[in-house]
Amino acid sequence: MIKINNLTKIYQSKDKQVVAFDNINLDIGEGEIFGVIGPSGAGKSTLIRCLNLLEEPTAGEVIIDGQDITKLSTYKLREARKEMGMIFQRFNLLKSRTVADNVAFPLEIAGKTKREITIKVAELLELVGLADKANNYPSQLSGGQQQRVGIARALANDPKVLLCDEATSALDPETTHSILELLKKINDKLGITIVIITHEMEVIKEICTKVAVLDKGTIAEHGDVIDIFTNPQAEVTKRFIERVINANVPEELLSRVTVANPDKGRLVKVSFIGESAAKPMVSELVHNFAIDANILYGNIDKIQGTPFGTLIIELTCENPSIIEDGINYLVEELEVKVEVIENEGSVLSSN
Amino acid sequence: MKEVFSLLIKDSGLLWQGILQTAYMVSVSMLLASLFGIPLGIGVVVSEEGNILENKAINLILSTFINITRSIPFIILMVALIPLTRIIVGTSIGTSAAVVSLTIGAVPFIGRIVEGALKEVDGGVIEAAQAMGANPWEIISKVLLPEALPSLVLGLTITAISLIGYSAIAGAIGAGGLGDIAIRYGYHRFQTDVMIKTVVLLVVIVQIIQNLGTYLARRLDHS
Ligand SMILES: Nc1ncnc2c1ncn2[C@@H]1O[C@H](COP(=O)(O)OP(=O)(O)OP(=O)(O)O)[C@@H](O)[C@H]1O
Ligand SMILES: [Mg+2]
Repeated sequence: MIKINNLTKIYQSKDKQVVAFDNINLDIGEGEIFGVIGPSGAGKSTLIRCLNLLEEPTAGEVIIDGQDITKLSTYKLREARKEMGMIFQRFNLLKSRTVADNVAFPLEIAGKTKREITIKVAELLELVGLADKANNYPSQLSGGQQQRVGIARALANDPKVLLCDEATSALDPETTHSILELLKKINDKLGITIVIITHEMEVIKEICTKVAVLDKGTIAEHGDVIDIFTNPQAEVTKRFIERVINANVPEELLSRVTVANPDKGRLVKVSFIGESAAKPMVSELVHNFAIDANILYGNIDKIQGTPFGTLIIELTCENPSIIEDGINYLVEELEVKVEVIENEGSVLSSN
Repeated sequence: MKEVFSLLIKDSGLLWQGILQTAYMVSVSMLLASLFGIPLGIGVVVSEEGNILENKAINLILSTFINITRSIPFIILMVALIPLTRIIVGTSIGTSAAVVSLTIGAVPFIGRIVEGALKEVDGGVIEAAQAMGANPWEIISKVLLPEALPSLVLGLTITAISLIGYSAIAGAIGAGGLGDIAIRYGYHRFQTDVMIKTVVLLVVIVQIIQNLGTYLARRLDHS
């Protein structure tokens, strides 16, 4: 649906140049919810603004639905933009227009008749759950409601692509959640391709199917969200993931937990994804190996409905070699990742 | 009591005529100046670097025009415009003659006010309109002007009030209106009561216009 080829953007001022991003290649499939995450200044906003040419790329192609939009005339570009919706961090609604008239704006631009506009606006406000606010002004709405108006407006001309630039960054977590739910519903219902720019891994985790990690103007890695989450390669990705999935055990906990009897015990960190999470890990250790398993810390999360988590377990047994057997069993049979934690909190990987 | 009353109505015919003349000068020049000043202000804003119709040359010409005309004191502008006024209305004295210089003096004034009001419009909203495929004309008519309307109304109110002041100055060279009366009767003939009455009238008129403008701007402002 969207193909970005060798895209480069350099801001040129009199005495210096700033490279926003350099030689980016991405392929965004139809119907995907594609997330782009990266630290501040990574070039995310610039990248998404290049997708509808609000920002003109220095080099490269942006092919949307088979058409390279960087090569279009001004007029053709305006027509192409009518097929793309965009929502913004600060909503950017017209404060002089009511909610209904804001949603009507792109329809007026597209030359729709009054009758068509009335019908479409009512439909869109219904979709975003704001039918009762049609005659209110944006200033009378909460941030979340304003973003819903923004979404309704962006969808007015039935676009194939919806671009979201930090669409939830100005909202509290609960409102963020409800906006993301709405985007997901729109994706399901209308099959529209959504590109989301964010610096919050929560957002990626909650709705994206694919993610690209942008760092210092290049793509550090990209792929399925579940793969990136469970097996991050780049440092920057790991840092983002740590923030949402507490795979790392809190420092103070590590310094506190020391196995009562080092000869007979082991402290392990077990990370699991998907199905294995449901398996009765602890009870199997207890029953099959007569190992005492004591959970000291646990954290379970879901990515796209797949469970994902970490447990810190203290394993104790009279015979230390049985503990090794137990760990091997976890790794081989239950397909979880096990790391043995040495005292003072250092982690020794056992597989 | 009766004396006070008769004193109050003594010059009412004269004053009424003054009010009408002032109203005529101000409203006609306001209308004409808006006709040129509003496009001028829009032109300056949209031709600016990075704006929707960026054009360095036009921007330079328009803003230089505003700056130069704005820096000429009105009384001098009026005198300088006498030949032009003669060509346009056939005479250099009277209310119609004053309208010419008032209009020309107010055009850059309005231009600046419109420029200021339009620049206040949130860039994000303009960008949103661009992202929706709006063309420059649609952005001007559907975004810039409606979004700036409350500030425009306040700015035009200030212009109208300034024009009342300028029309009084114009009165000094025989333009008619309340300023003319104040000078003729109060200054040349020492009729202090007439002068006080015109001053009171001017204050009342300015108050009414200001309140009307503020009220309207508030009604239009939904932010
Ligand atoms: N108009 C501009 N002129 C010059 N440099 C710019 C401009 N816009 C952005 N930049 C630079 O380009 C780089 C990328 O900026 P961008 O806004 O795309 O980052 P971002 O990833 O969106 O960051 P944030 O998370 O803070 O929004 C930064 O170094 C920034 O300073
Ligand atoms: Mg940004």
